Amino acid sequence: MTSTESGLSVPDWPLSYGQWFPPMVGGIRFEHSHRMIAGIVGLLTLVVAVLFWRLEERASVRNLALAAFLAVIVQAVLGGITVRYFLPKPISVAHACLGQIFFCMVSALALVSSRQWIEGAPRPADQPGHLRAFWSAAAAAVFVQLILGAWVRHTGTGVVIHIVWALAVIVLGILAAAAVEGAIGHFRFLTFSGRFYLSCTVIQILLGVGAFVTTHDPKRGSLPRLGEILFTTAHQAVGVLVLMAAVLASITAFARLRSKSAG
Amino acid sequence: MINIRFWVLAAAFAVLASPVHAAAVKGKVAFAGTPPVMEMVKMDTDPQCALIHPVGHRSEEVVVNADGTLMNVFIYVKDGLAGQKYEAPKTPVVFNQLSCRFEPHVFGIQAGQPLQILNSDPTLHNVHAVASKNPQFNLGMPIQGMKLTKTFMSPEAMIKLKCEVHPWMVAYAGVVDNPFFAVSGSDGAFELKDLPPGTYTVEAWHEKYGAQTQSVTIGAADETKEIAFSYQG
Repeated sequence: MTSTESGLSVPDWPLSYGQWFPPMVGGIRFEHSHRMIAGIVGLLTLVVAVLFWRLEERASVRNLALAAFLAVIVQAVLGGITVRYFLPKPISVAHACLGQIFFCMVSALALVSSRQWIEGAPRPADQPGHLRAFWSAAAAAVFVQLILGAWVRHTGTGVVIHIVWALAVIVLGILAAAAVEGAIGHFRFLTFSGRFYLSCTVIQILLGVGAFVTTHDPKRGSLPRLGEILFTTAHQAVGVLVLMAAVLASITAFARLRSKSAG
Repeated sequence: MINIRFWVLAAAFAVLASPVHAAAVKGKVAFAGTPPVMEMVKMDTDPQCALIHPVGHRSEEVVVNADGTLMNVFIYVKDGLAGQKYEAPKTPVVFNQLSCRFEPHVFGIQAGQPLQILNSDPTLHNVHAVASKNPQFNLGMPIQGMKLTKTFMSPEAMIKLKCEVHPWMVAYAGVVDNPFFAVSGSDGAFELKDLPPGTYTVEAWHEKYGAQTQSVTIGAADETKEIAFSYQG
């Protein structure tokens, strides 16, 4: 929606041109589709929250489900504010980042409610403590990178620091993935997370180059071209996958591994 | 007797009907260099617009006239009228959404003068004024024939107007606190009429090539000064 510059194509909220379903032309196709999908996500999250609250024994997981539902409510309000107040930059950035946080919350719910997680048990205490540090640092670095990326996307400034910070994301990811490969080769999920993180990071770098080239093309007309739309959208989408990998690996490292001192 | 009265009245009428100031600044905006080829914007995202423009429509960002002059340059008196107050006209400036384009593409309006916005198209539009010194607005206009009126109360050069449904639709409004403004037309010409004597800063603004200023001094009430602006492509 941002890539097609459709964020204000529907000037009212929560209705669209005073209707629940306006003519789907021009930028309205993207903006209203976004609202409809958001509504479906909100309803599904409500159902999930109710089910977890009624059936889940672990208080932390119940709270996470409730937090996810509250997050989607806040996200809807932020979306309304962006429309009513003509895309104020801090709100637009917050709206982008909260969407990614919500995605990670829901992914975490899926992880901790999986059979493998529920039936599994903490591993023996021969795992290095720095594993948790690497993964939590990688997750934090990726989240900072996403904030910087959202700032670039909504203000057009800060691309240099966004590129420079990518190095931190790469270095921490390599350290975290290497620590998993070397120390816990048999704990498949963490190994998979490390490989998934690095794979997505490589793809993300390529998409970032594509996004930069297409948005700075001297021959770019007044409207974004298809290539620019695809690169910028894909760059944002893969970015949240990188964050998800780091967050889930961090959760696993903290919840499923005991340090040597606890052994 | 009657003849004398007639001529006295006629003379009085002639004096009263004449503008107090008849000075003017006029000229042309030239374009130097090779005119850029404007992109052909496709309007496929809206079937109604695609019907009107099946092959698209040339962007109006740079319009170089056949005689080498530049169209859609906003020229106005930026400085030199300190202390002068000019009442805003009650007659609205009409801003139309027609054939999935804004008409006019560049226009001037006095602060406090009404802006009447029309949707003459059989499709919906909206008008987003990206103002900084005036309140922004983003008005949905879903119905053909719909009219809305807005007023910019503060001078602001320039305000970008966009249709957020059809991103190729862009226009610019120059909001000034005096009636001395013009937009260069298909001959690149402009004229700022009825200026009082004084020294002025006249600014020319183009959406791609930016702003230029010149200083002009009007000595007598009926003097006409010629100035020229030139933009390099």
